[in-house]
Amino acid sequence: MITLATIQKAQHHDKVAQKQLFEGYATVIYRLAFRYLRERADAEDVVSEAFCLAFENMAKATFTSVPFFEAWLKRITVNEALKSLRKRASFHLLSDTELEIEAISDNTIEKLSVAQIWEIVSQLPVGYRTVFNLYEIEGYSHAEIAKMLNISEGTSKSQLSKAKSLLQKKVIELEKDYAQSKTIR
Amino acid sequence: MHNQKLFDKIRDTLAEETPQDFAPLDWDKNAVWERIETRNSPRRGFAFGRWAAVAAAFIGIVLLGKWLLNPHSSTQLPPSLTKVTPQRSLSTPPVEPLKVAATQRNKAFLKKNKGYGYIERQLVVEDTWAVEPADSSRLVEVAVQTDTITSPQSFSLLEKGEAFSRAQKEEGEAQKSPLVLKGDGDSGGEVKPKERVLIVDIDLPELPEKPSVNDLLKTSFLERFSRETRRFRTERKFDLRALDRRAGKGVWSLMAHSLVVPASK
Repeated sequence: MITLATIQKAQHHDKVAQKQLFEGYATVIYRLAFRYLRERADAEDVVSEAFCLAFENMAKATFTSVPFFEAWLKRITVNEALKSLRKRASFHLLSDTELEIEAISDNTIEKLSVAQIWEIVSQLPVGYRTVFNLYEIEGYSHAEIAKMLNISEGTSKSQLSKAKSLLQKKVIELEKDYAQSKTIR
Repeated sequence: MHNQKLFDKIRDTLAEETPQDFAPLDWDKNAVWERIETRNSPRRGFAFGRWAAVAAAFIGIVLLGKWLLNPHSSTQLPPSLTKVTPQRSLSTPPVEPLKVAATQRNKAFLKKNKGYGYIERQLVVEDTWAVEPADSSRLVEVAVQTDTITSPQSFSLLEKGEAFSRAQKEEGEAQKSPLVLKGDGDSGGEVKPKERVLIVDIDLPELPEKPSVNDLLKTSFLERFSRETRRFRTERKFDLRALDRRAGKGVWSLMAHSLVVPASK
């Protein structure tokens, strides 16, 4: 259980407190990094870098609550993940034409497993996935995303729209595959 | 928005509901923590400090060695000589330095070159050394070395320490000199310090001889004429160029040659 006292001890370079913070947030931070990078080694690098930066700069910050620290740590991780994406030079934005959107039944949505959701999100192109993660999961505004990725707000909006269209398309494909397998049985 | 329910589920799944045993999310948590610990370890700073200390010590040794090996940092004496600071007191009045002019040779030299005003600087250098002889411990000689420097060349020699080395070289000859009064070792009496005066020969370059009046009469007019003509031509050329630039291409450029007046005239 992470408390404000633990965070304050970690601010004074207390090793035990730092280890507690790592144990408490490591999995969340790793998943966050993995969502952006899709590579285990890269995600581990980002996790270690984010925690190192957090421990080095904690003393300069003031944390009034535990969620505030969590948000701060996540922000560091996102920044490090974006930095890693830029280093790999694989961060590029696509400008495909708008995909047609079909309605998806509630039944199909309910049947989607965790693995399938991770799979379809991981299959998104880097630019789509990054904007989708930043907007839908982390809750950044288009203005903030535009600033972070050095793009315009309009580009951010269009990338998000295309990401959603592609996700829907992939879910429909999954639905068709599921229906076909059901017919064969 | 179409299919909002789908995106809500995706958001919830990615943010919260990921099971721990989900295969793609398996990772080596301990290895990552070890990396973090290694990076934040204080030993890293200690290691850096240790290297910094080694580097500082090395720089210090180099600077110390450079200072010690610097010939200007201290006067290095030959092993057989020990410097003695002259003690000035009422009982022992200071020894008057002998001038070079005291010798016949230098008198003649000064007389010869007086007309040219060649002697520009005079410097008297006086130093006292106690010479410890290698064979006899009873004989103590006090050499008073006096140089009168009358030329810039000799002054530069003295600055380079060559005057002293020459004095050292002549030390052996001075043993044979009648100026040196050797102590009477057989008498067994009290050995008194003997004075020895070393006169340093000054090599001055021969001055060019003055041209004779006949030579001057033969060559001066031609030389002067050619020199003046050359100077006049050069000045006129430069003046013409300046005037051409000022006048441009107008009427004045035609009159420029007639307006030239050399500055020297």
